[in-house]
Amino acid sequence: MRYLGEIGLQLAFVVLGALFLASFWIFSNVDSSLVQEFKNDRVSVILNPDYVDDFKSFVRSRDDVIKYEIQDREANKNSLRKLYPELGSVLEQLEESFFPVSVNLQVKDAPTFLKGLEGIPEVSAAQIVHRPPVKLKQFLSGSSALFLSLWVLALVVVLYFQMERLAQLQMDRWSLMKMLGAPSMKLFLPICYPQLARIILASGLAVFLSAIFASEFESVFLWQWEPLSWFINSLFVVGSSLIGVAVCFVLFKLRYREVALG
Amino acid sequence: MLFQFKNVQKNFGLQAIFRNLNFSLERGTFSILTGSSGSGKTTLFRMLCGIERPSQGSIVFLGQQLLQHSPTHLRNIGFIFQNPRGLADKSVLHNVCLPLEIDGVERPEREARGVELLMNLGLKHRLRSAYRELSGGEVQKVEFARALIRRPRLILADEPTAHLDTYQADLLLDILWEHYKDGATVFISTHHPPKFHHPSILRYHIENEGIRLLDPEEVSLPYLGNSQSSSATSSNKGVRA
Repeated sequence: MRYLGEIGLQLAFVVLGALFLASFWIFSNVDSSLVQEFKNDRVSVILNPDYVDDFKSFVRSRDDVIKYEIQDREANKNSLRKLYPELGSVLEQLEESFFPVSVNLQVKDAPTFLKGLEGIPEVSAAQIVHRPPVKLKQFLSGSSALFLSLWVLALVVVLYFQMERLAQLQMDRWSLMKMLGAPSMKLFLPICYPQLARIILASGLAVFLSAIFASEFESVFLWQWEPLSWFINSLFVVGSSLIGVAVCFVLFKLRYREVALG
Repeated sequence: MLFQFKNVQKNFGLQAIFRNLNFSLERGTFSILTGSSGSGKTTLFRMLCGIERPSQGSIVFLGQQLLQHSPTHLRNIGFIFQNPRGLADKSVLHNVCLPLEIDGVERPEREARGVELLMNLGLKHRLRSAYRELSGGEVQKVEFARALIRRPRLILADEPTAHLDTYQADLLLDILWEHYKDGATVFISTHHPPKFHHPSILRYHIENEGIRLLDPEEVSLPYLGNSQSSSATSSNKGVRA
């Protein structure tokens, strides 16, 4: 029964590792394409045509403006014509003075920028056109963090039970070795190697599982998915091993401290 | 001064084993601790080993408060416990050579030293036997050999001859005596002290929750004279003869 529990924990460790990698993969894809594309707030401003130069100098004085583009009356008329081709003949007959001069701005924080526009006479109207998908990004990064924490927790629990089992089996040996003045590393290293092999194997399995998940996911959601790089996968395996060894060492030290001499 | 007990009190529950115990152990002495069953010999021994801590007071070892012996100290102390501590599935030779393995001594050298020691103890025929196959007396000898193979500067032995007949017990005491003559400090707690007197031997007795150094006059045993070069137990045999 105890072995079943340990196998279950080991499986949980593999599955959580795979889930972490999968959610990180989705997060990095979304972040590098969707979020990157629309990462800045966008604001549209209607200007009084006589004050375009004043507005330009206002915009240049602000640090939170990333990019701006002024569209004159003609450009706006053309845009509308492109947007509503069925109204082409009507729009054609209208004079350009019926169309506004507008500015499309990419800013760091749209509400702050809009507040800054208050009281400026050359601005007729202003509105937020787009805000980046912050919630989506937060959700994805939150999921990755959650799976990462659960995975580390699973790693600690797996190693804890391993260490308890080993301590029960080897208590007499540890006690004798301690009495004989053996440095703790002499006992730790033979324990550490099998645990390290187990962690590397489990991490490898998690990478494999996440790759299967990614291929299934790609077939369901057709998009330009970039696979996780071998560097990230290797980093995951190496990171797991390092964290595993560190956790194993701390658990061993705590357990070994309790061992009586002889 | 090797060990110094300062106002040590040791309780187990409500029962006090030691009260205001002040006791010191000097370097280069051969000391024997006696006392009735349950008087606290093993408890004192465990406190010397750092396994038990005093309920009150302090134990000073080499000028520093003893909480637990450091690995460096432990490598200079030979412990012989009342109950066997060997690795049951390993051979006698492996068990005896374990301290040298920890010290990083090469296998041929450590085995040569182990074989020599076991031969002196009459266990040559048991070199390759598993530890669990040994009789009580043989186990005691192996424990002895393992404790002494490093030639430690301090030997702490709790009832080292408990499972042995008189002849075997004398043999082991002889070996301890040899170590003492080589400069080691020996401290033995026992129910069955050697039946002889020697001026170099300090005898302590546990009574009234304390420890008392016995005067030679109090110990009505045959006197062996001043010759430290003589073997303690062989002289003893001589006296008895």
